[in-house]
Amino acid sequence: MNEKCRFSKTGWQGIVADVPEDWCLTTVSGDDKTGYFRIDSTSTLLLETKWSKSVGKVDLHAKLEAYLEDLKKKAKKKKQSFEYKIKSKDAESLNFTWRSDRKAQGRLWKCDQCNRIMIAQLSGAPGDDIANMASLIMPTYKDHSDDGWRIWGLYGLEAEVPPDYILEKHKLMSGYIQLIFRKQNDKIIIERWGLANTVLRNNPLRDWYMERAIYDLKAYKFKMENILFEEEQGLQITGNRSSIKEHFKSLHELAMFKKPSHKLDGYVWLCEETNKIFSIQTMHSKKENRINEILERIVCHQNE
Amino acid sequence: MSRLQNIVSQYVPFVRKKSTHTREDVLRSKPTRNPVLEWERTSDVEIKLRIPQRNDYIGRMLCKVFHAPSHKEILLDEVGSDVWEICDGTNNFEAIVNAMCKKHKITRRECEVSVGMYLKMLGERKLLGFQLGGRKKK
Repeated sequence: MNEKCRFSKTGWQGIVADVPEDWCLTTVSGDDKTGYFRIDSTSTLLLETKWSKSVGKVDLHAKLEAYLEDLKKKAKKKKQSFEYKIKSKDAESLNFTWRSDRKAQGRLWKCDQCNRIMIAQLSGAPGDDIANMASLIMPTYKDHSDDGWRIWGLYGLEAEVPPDYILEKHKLMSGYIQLIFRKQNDKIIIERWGLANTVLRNNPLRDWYMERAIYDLKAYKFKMENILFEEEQGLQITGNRSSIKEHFKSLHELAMFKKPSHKLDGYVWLCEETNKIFSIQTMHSKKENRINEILERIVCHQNE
Repeated sequence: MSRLQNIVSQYVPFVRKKSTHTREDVLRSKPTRNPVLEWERTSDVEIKLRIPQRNDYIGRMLCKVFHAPSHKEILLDEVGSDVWEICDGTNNFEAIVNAMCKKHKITRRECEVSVGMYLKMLGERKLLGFQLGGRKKK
């Protein structure tokens, strides 16, 4: 592997690993309790991660054996040989390797803080240098952050959301990423658009964003101010729920003993370094304004 | 048998052989513009393609009856025009993806997917063809 290879954080549901920058998240499924994601390299290497919530004591060795035996069964069906080895690192973590038509190196561990059992494995073709790459990637795995904020890393976007916010909806399209998180009535929307030079050729950022956001923000009366983000053009959005219908919604939320999210805050900015447009919006109650903390933790580009 | 199958498969879809091209074959393939087409840059960012209508007896007759123009025109957007310009038969798919990644600063995966879909669409409309290099002998 090229020593100059740059790494970026990639992962899903707060589980991230540092992988080479050109590796991409290709499959995601599940939620924070049970789920799976897969990251593909540009060649034959691929990194897979599986997790499941588990409270109480778990026999990790039995769990790993069951997983590897299942793989063995699948290999047997394809009439392929399958060999595996398990090495115990400590009571909370087991390393394993297997070899069939592909080969893999991985780790199974239980995190007592987030109560999740994790299996991570890097697999590749028989000729691939897996050991070297696994030694670079496996130690970088993080299944939770120290302060409870959940890290999300995909296609070069690194963001963190406050604890208790659950992913409600996501769109991963070529040139557009949208992540929507919800905690009761509060909402965080993180968006990123590619090809900024093309989309902003005939439109200033303000007009372009208004065209996109007018439908989503129609429930709010808001103002948009031009600001500068480290010499890059940006917009600050602040607003409140506007119409009578929306105020009735707030009353309904109050009646359900939930704080109404009648405030809107947001930032939109152009990152010329990566040629992308970023947007963060929060719809929140008066006390739950986390927009500046989210903004501080978002990485739009890595400095050289 | 194979020749007969080729002829029949042009008209009967389920007889068609499934494509056996690997990812490497696709990355090595060289998209080439249909030489029948005329194209020109209409501005700094856009390219206009002129596709001639069929020139046989039936085509000419239909054109006369329906007062159809002799050419169909397609306007490509900025990114589409960039891709079209590189598809000159000398650059393979991988080189095109690399060039687009560099120019528009998009991740390789995003670029591969969108350029692939775009070239596939141009290929289906017969605006482009793909030169597949022979496999290397082992």
